[in-house]
Amino acid sequence: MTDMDIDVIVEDYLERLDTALAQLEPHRRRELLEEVTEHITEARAELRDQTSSSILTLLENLGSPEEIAAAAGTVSMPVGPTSSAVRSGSRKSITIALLLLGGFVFVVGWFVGVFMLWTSDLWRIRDKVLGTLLIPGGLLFPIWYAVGPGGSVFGSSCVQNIPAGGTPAKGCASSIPPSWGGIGLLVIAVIVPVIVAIHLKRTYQTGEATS
Amino acid sequence: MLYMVPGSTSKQLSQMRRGAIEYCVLALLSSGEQYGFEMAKALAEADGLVTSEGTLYPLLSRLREEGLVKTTWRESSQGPPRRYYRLTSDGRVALEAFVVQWTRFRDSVDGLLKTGRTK
Repeated sequence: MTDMDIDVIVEDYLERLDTALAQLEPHRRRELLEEVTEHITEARAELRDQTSSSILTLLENLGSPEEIAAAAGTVSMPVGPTSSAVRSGSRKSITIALLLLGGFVFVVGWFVGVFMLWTSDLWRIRDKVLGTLLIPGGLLFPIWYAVGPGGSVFGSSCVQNIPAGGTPAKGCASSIPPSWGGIGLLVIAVIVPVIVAIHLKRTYQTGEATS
Repeated sequence: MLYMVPGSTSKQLSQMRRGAIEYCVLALLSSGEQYGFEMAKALAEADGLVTSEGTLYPLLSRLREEGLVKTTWRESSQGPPRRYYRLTSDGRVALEAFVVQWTRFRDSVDGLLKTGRTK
């Protein structure tokens, strides 16, 4: 066993640690890497024989890169390991995305979102009710209403209001005022689900800080 | 708490350990500054406290962010300069407060556990 082989083992370990720490802020990541590197240097200086097995024991005592990264990640979360926090974090995002946009996935997507909302313990009951009722289908209906074939604000209402004998262009122009109400509804129907989505995201985050 | 299964007991113990360990690190520094390797060895020698030495560094990082510990560089007799850790005045106050609370807590728990056993 040469010094070079040992260096490779150490370098490999530090590289794994660097990767495992990818989610930390850059300055903390750099500091932790430096500190662990210094630790290894000190520990190696104390080794009587520099063999690969003694280096591996040294690294084993130090703990796996993933273990160190988990300890770094639990910093602001006293409960549960990082991996589960990350999982619930992505679950949260997926749930909110499905509530907003799931309707476009054959409508079923929205129901999956509702199911995930109710089976999660990230939200309180009233937030779950809010997320379900405002507005069923998320952005599906307002967008379908705006651009879809079914009674669009900009489409059929215009055609229906053409007065007999009038030119289509004029008829269309005169039909725009009644559709302003439709546009208003449309704006509300877009804004409400977005506000609820933002609320769901925030509620989760404050819950995390207190848990 | 009869309903408790061993799995949740070990989870609770690990949470308690995690809570106490920060203060063990502060206590290591109460008699003066130390460098990381030295502290890691002392922590690892304490039975049942940490499973691996390396988890000391994320802990130190958190204590530093909280302003309880700070780092200084010192020349060492052999090799490159070493990073030393020491308590800030906030760190000292936090440690003293913990020691008072911990002693009360430990005595109460010990007392109750003992009466439970003698019955």
